[in-house]
Parts: sequence; structure tokens; C-alpha cells
Amino acid sequence: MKFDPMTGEPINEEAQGTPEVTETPVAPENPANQVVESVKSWISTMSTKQWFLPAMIGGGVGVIAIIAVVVAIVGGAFMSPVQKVTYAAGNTFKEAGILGDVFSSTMTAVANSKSTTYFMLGIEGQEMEMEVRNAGKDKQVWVKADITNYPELEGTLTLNKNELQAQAPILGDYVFFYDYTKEADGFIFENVDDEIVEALNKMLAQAYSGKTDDSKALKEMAKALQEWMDDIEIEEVEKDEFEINGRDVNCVGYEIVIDEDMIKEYMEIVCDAMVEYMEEQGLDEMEGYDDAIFDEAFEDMFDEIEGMPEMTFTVYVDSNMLAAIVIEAEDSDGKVKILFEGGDYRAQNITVKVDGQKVLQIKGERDGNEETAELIIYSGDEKITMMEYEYDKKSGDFEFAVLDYYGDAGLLLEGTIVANGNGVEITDGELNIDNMSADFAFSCKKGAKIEKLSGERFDLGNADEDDLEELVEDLQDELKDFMPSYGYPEVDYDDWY
Amino acid sequence: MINVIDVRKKYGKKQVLSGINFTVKSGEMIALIGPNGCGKSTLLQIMAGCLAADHGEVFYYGKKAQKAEVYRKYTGYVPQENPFLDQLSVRDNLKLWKKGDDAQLQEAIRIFELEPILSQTVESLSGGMRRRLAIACALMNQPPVILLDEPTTALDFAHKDKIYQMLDAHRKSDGIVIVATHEEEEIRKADRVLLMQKGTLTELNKCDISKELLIHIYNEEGKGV
Repeated sequence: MKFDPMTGEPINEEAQGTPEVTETPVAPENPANQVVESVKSWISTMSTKQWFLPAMIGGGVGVIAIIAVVVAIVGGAFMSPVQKVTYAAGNTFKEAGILGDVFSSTMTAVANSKSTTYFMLGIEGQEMEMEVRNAGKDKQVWVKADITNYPELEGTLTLNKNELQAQAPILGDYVFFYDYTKEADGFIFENVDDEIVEALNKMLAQAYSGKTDDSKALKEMAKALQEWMDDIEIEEVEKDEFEINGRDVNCVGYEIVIDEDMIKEYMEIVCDAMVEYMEEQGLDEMEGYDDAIFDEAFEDMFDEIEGMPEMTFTVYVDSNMLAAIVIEAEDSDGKVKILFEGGDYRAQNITVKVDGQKVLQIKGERDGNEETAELIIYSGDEKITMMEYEYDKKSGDFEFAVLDYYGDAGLLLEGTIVANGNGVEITDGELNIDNMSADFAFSCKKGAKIEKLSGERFDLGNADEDDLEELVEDLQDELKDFMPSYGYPEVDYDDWY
Repeated sequence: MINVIDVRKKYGKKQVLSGINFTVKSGEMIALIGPNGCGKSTLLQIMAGCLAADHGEVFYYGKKAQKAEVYRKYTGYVPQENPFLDQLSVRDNLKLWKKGDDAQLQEAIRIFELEPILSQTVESLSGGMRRRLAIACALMNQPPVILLDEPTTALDFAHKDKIYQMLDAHRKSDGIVIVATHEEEEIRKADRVLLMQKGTLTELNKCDISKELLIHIYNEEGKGV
């Protein structure tokens, strides 16, 4: 091959031939470490994807359950006889500053109506966008990815009364659809268990209607948890004095004792319910599912709390809000105090003391439309600011930074938040984490417009082998463009330094 | 002909490339040297279209490289990492990389002597064979510019020699070779040597290049950016 020095075009190929390589004795090959883990991990994700749904449900519910325990313990939410504590905990965190109010009021308004949620993330010149349109029952997801070295990717997924539809320009003008209300006996479904198809259809029907079946497993879990809560004893203790909004206040206290067995019992209720829930939903039929995953996860948590001493939580209440929580462990003289010192709202200033020593402080300030907050760690005589936050309601500018020991921002999140009755929008968003920087935008607004997908319809549920072969043949050229021609754009950034 | 004009790149607050300018003529082989972390790989990634620059432009034979088509037409890129799907055979990987007709594929198989290993999976190949395959893939579509990121690292003498011959043949065909390297032999084989330090490029006089100078440069490792 010879190249034109001016244009770079290959010339006179026949005459020049191609560069030949002379024979050289080859030494025994050296197994060099050239294997990139990224490719392997990409392939390995094929198997982990099978775990995605159960892991997401299990993990999500597990996390919520743990948070519920913590909130219950800290806030006293489980004590039906002492509604004051529950009410106080709710009131304390109801107000969360200007930005919190902006978000919660807007998001509540949007969540109760038809909405369009948009998200954009751009990293190193590559960009991904996603829009979720919820028009009541009909729903649509649109995604677009602009990745260097690949053709632009775009796709739309629509869920309507009968069908899940998909369209992507890279796959021509086909509208792929799956009718979840009818039987699917095409080639793709030949080797799929009926239970899985049934679970898929049920999931799509529920996603469309927005209604979920009453889960017997979850109902039983709620009942068991209620009984567990009822068994917890709570008693009123002597009043104590705490500083709130700059003045000393006498507060009523309520004492709750929690031990290792109680927490284990709680976790067992949740674990059993998870396994039952998976079976109930038919998710246990998914390939690779093993209910031991829950046992293992909970066993790990059991190990963590093994030997945990009996803990006494005393919750002090003032003006129907939390004033302080004092935590004491059995056989220990030490005390942890979480003090809600108030300000413009009760949770604006919080101090944590261990044995009388200040160890952590959340310090907030409000000045007109502007608010700031800091998270400070105290270690001996040292005072280290770990997080900083600023928000100006008038301009919408916000900044959130996680600082290192020297006060430099290891993580910096900034942008502009605009909210009104129609929704909330974050523009000019920028995220910097160490050496990585990303742009982002977000909006969540009332109203949604579902775009109708038009083109040649292809029935994924009932297509036979010949239909699929014909489709692949038809799409071959389009797909070819998508294959990489040199190297992968996946890069281990650490290797560049 | 390549023109790189004021290319800049920042990772977070770290300025990795701060205004890179250089020109390469047809038939030249350029050695890009500098300590680890100085930005050599970043520059090659940008020139290959795998990474977007924050600022600046790259021209191939007068055409501004913006779209993937331009990069694909003019460049072949051999990254430091193994770019293959390990579980696929050599033949299948070559097919994935192929853009033109089967004749190009057959030609690559012939030139790079890949016939005996066509049915083997990439994961069963030695490091040397994988590098050879990577270069074959980069050259298969006959791009005039070939960009290589440390192509001979960890290879034995015989494999290195084979790769040098391939690169030399490409240069003699009026192609352009740009190689990021730490290898003294590659540096000496190059027509020009560009030193990257603290995000900028300096052209070294080949006559001044000595082992002592290279040791000094690479002793700066870690201070490069």
C-alpha cells in the first residue's frame, strides 16, 4: 500500500503491493499482561444483568427496611402509645431549608400529575440524555447517547394499553412491539418459561395501570413488623434541659431499649418476606435466582451486629419536635447526644457529642433568599469542615462541596435550580470529582406528550425464525456502522497519568 | 499531513494538555516521549477520535477531524490495552474491525501471518500475537496515519523486530506513524522525537538524544503533569 502524501488516499495499490515483513525467528511467546479487564467485565455483565431485577428489588427494599429501623429507633416512629414522639420526629424533618422546601413542594405537585422528567449527563465530550414521559397510563422513555467514535444512538420505548413498543433510528424505521395482553409463541419465546413470560406481562400491565397487586407477602410483613413494634417497651423519663434556638428548654423524655435479638428478629421478618415476595411475583423463576442471596446478605448483617450491647435511646421532645436523642450502651458509661439546636427550623443546627465532647456539627444559616450549611468534624482541638452547601433562591445558584482535610473540594456539585408551579429545573449543572468532570441537567415538569411511533411494525412476540433472519439481514448494514473500527472508546483514565 | 492546533485537555482541575501544536509530514515516523502521566495517551486518544479535546483542532490532509468518518478514514489506532473481544476468534475479531471488502481482510491475514491462528480465541494468544493482531486491525482498513500507544511494551526481541518492520514499511509507503513510547530503539528509529512535559510539546534534536538524557527525562516520572 502506498499513500498519496498530499491527500493520504491509497494509490497504485496493485503496483506497489503491500509492505512485506521479513521472516524473523520467533522466540517462545511471552504471555504478556496485555489483557484489559474492561472488555472482560463488559462480557461478564451479561450474566450479572440477570441479577439486576431481583437485586434491585431486594436491595431497595432492604435499604428502605434498614432506614425504617434507624428512623424508627431515632425518631420513635414505632411507638403507637407515644404518638408525640412520632409526631415530633415527623415535624423535625418536615422543614429542610429553602432548597428542601423548593424541591419537596414542587416534586409533590409533579408526582401527583402527568409529568415529564429529563436528565442529561455529559462526560469528556460524550453525552447521554433521557426523558421519561408519564401521561397517566401511557408512558414513554426516550434516550439518546452521543459517544465519541460511535454513531449517535437514539431510542424510544412506549408502553400503552396493549403493547410495549421500541424504535431506534439505528434499526431503520421498524417499530418493534410486544403485545403483553396476548399469547406470544414466536421464536424468541420458544425457550422462555411460561412463568417468566407471565411475570413480564404482569409487570408491564402493572406499569401501565400504575396499580400494583396487593402483595400477601408484604401485607404479612407489615403485620409482623407491627407486632414487633408493639413488643417494644417505651416509658416516660424525667425531664431534661437542652438549648434550643438559643434558650434553655425543659423537655419531656421517652426511653426505648433495643437489643441484638430485637434487631435480628426485625431482619428475619424482612428476609422471609423478601423470599416470599420474590416467589409471589414469579421472580424466583428467573435464571440464576437463588433465595440464598437474601440469607447471605442478612447473615452478613447479623455478623455485623453480633455481640451488640443493649442500647437505650432516650428521645426528648419540645414543641412537638425533637430536642435531643441520648444513646447509651449497656456496660458503658459513655453517652452519645444528638442535639437539635434549631435556628430557622429545628434541624438547621445539629450537634453530636460523645461523652460531652463535640464530634460533629451541622451548622446552617439563612439570610433572606440565601442559605448555607456546613458539616464540621471535631477531632481533639482540630475542626475540619467536611461539606459545604450554598443556595440562593433568587438566582437559583447552588453549590455543594465535599472537602478534603486541606479544605480542597474533592467533590463539587454546582448549578442553577429554578422551580415554579410547573416543576423544577436544574441547568448549568457541573459535577467535579477529583480529576473527572461532568455536566448535567435535570428537569421535572408537569404534563407529558407521548410521541406516536410510526414505521414498519415487527411483532417480537410472534415472529418466527425466518422473520428474525430476514430482520437481521435487513439490519446488517445499519449495525455494521455501529461496530468499532479501531480500538475501544472504553478507557481506563487512571492509565493516562 | 497532520496539523494539530492548540489542543487542550483538562481532567477536572488537572490540565493534561495545555496547547499542543505540531505538524507531521507524509512518510514521517514520530516518537512521542515523556514520563508516565504526561499526556501521551491522551493526545493519541484525541487524535484517534476516541476522546474529545476541550479546545483545539486536528487536521488530516487538510480535513478537519470532527466526525467519526474522518477519524476512521485517516487513522488506525493501536491502544495500550487489548481492544479485542477475548472470547471471539481472531477471524471474528478481524471481521468486526473490517470496513472494506473481504480482499482487505485476506490481505491483512497474509501480511501479518495470521492464518495459523485464525480459529483461536484471542484469550488464548500470547501478548506478542495480540499486539500483532492489534496492528493488523489498525492497518487493515488502509489508513494513512497509524497511531500506536506503546506498541512493543513487554514484547520479546523477535516480536518487536517484526513490528518495527511493519511500521517502517508503512512509513516508506508515505504513511505516517506516531508512536508513544518508552523504548530507546523506537525513539532512535523515529525521524523526529517530540518530548511531552507538563502538558506541552518540545521537539528534541535527534543528535542530542543520549541514554543519559532519556534517563533524565524518565526520572521526571510523576512530575510530568
